[in-house]
Amino acid sequence: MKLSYLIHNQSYNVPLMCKRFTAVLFVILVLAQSSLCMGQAGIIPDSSLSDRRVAYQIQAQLDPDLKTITGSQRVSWRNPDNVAVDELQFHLYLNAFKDTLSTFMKESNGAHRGFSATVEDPWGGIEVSRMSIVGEEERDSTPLGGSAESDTEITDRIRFIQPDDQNASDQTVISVALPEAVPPGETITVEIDFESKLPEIIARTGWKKKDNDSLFVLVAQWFPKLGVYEVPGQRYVPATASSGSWSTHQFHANSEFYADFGSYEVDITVPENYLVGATGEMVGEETANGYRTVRYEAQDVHDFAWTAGGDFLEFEDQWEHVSLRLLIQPEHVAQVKRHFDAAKIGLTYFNDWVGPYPYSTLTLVDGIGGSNGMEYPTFITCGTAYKLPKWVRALEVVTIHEFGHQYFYGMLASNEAEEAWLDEGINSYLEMRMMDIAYGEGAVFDFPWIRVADSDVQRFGYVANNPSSGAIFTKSWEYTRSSDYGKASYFKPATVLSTLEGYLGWETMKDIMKTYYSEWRFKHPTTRDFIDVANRVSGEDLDWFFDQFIYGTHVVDYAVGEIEVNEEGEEIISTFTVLRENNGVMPLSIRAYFADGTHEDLIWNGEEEKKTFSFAKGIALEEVHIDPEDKIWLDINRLNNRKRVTPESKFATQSLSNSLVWLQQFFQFASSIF
Amino acid sequence: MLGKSILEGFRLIRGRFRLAVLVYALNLLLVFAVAFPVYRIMMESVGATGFGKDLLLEFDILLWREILIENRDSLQQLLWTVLLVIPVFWVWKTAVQMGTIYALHQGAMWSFWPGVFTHTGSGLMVGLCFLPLKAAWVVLTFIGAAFLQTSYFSGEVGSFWLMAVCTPIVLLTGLAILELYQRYARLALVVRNDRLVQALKVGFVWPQRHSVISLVYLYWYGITAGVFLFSMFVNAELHVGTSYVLLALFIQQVIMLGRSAVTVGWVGSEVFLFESTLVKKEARLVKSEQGA
Ligand SMILES: [Zn+2]
Repeated sequence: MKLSYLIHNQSYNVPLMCKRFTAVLFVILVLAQSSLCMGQAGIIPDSSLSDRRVAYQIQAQLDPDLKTITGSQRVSWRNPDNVAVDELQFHLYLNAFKDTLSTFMKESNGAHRGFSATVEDPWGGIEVSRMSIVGEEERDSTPLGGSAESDTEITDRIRFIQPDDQNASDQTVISVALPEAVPPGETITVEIDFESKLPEIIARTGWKKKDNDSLFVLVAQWFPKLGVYEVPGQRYVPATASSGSWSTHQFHANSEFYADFGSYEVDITVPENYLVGATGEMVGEETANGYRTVRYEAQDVHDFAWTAGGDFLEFEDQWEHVSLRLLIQPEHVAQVKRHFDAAKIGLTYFNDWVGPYPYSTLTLVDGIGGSNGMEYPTFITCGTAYKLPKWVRALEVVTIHEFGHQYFYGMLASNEAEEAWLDEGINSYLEMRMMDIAYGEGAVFDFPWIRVADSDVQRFGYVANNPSSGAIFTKSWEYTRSSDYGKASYFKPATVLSTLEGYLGWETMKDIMKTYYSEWRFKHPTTRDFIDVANRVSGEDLDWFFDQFIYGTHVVDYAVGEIEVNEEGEEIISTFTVLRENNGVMPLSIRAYFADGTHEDLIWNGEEEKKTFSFAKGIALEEVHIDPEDKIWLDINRLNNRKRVTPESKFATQSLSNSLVWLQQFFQFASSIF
Repeated sequence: MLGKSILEGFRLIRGRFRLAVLVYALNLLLVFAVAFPVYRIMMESVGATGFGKDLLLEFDILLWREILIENRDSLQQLLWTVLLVIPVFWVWKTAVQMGTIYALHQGAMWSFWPGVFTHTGSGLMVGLCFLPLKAAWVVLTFIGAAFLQTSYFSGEVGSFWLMAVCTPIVLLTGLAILELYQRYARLALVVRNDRLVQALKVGFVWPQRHSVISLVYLYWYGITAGVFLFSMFVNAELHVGTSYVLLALFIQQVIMLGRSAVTVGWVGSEVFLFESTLVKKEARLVKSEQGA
């Protein structure tokens, strides 16, 4: 998700545009998909990128009037443990939006990230009406939805649990006690009938109507989704533990998601005139009785989201092996190229800096009403505004950021609820880096005189937001200050990793990224795993760094203290002090400039609170500059990093000159209207 | 008539250039009260650091944040100064306008200050009459825009055109029209020695009767817009580079002197139009009305 730069689209009052375009496209698609198979059993295949512990097969029908999804799903789960497991746990995320009593709503005071209800019934929810275990034979022979005699109904074994906060009113996690435990390595298949009621868009999911009355839905966190069963040795479960356990966190206001990899086969039925976009690849399409059913398939992903709308335009492009598809609001059609360009920048740089993008599709969605700036596997929402000037690159930042999630959220798939920074933070660091390289100094805001780079945004988000509170390594619902989650998950990690880059150099940093990705993709790494990779690749024990800035809340602030220049005979003795003004320690370089234009560089370990340096030369010291190459981005005050013996007036003169002319102009203008 | 009065404006810029210098100097004096503290603040907090060179070359949001935090109190004070200068400016602008009209009326043989002393009071009265009208226009425009947005243009595209394009244009056009009426009311005060009510009547009625008034106004408005854009352009071009800070200051001020000269030309042009043409035309109009 993108915390900053959110653009909440407003809707637009025009009739359906470009119907012909979409009609032509439909015909092509229908002709291309001459054979269509719907509703066959899903079995976990062998060779794959991930270990595919789960397989989902879902049939979903959207009711545009009620804003509900009626669904049936068959989900297979393979027990990865060495002992039998007698319980399944599922997320029912949509229940977070059921009423004001859910943990999500309590934590967010019902106003999550811009949510404000504009309709009578903005609420959502999900109800499971039937759950049964499907016998091994039927799994392969009966279609989804057709119950067989050998099915074992387990609906009455469902109970709500609240593993995080014991809030009895929270219904976002269910536990199902199995009548028979699943033996090690064996697979259980469960069939579930459910109905999801979409909320008016909140937390990047739900429905919204445009001004022209057309419906837009972003259907995410919408089906009963298995938690992650962590085996001994996986993440923080001790390798010596006798058995693994479920990690199924409730839906918190500030938490995102965590799930196992597997395959998805999803049939989506929507009104005929709707365009659909979803995770994975569209493999079939059928139209009947005014409704259209599209089938999507995705492998080695851990979630499935989709969108549908009556007012989308569709565009396609290609980047190497990746088919890009953009669903965009007609009023933003002038920005199609900007979307694709940004996506290609993301693909190119992430491919180069982290590793290959293995999927064949990427769907970009220009959603409305607070649905934008979100990532799902191979499917992201971007978001822009009508006439968004080229020098405001909000659209590019969000697109690149959400694409980056394909790596950290999508393939590395850390537990976002517990260690959000591994996804949002590392992603923000790389997004910032590539934005600034691809778009230059004014990467985010490129107005003459006022150029703001993405790195400025990240650093600002850290230093201006109480840097000493809220460690990066904190469970997302355990931050005490409300703005600490955003700072510690996005801005601070970007600043910390940039500082590490300043210390190690980009080539080493890139090696760390590549190694981390190649060793840990599809394996849910932890903070410790990332640090171990960094230590190994850099050949240095970096715990002193991570302990201060990932686990701790140390703050870096170095300053130049007193400067003294005294003549002693032939020699000029120049003395200056450097101060460590806070508890953070970083080795740093100090540059001393002399009156003849030469300079000398000094290295200091940065440990003492005060350190004095002196020179005895024939020439006087003129200026001292701590960290002259600006490598320590964590330094919360740069202005005190530099001091001159004699002040310099050019900038002040220019400020005077500019304020004079601006004020004169302002008053002249004011005098012509008042 | 249009060409004649514009030419007269340019002739007066040459003929009364010292007046333009005086207007410029008064303007500079006023803004200096605000701008000099900026110099002091920057000298203290940036001059001693050595970051001045970097800040001359590029905007740095992080350093600016530190500068603003470090000088929070002085900047707050500065803001108060600006707020204080606004009413002072309003009075000053009226005084300059009255003085200039006076200096340029009846053959432009008069000096500036007597006009300031004798006519600023009545000029301010005219201004006070227009102030509520202008305020009402601002309020009405915003209420109208808000109403249109909620009822007809709530969509993204409609909102954009309504709020970002149409509303500012309507707002500024309305204010500019009211300003035009105000100028002619003030002209009537000085040139015809009208009393307040009569002057206001002239201000409202004449510009509607004689389209040439609007044309002259638009012409000079266009020139000031041109000077404004040129100064912004020069400002942008001069911004980069550390070597010519003083030269840049000088060039900018020369342009601002030019802007004051335009003010003189503008007023001169209107005074000429008022005296040589409109007074006679109006007299004829009144006569023909009486005759009928
Ligand atoms: Zn994100």
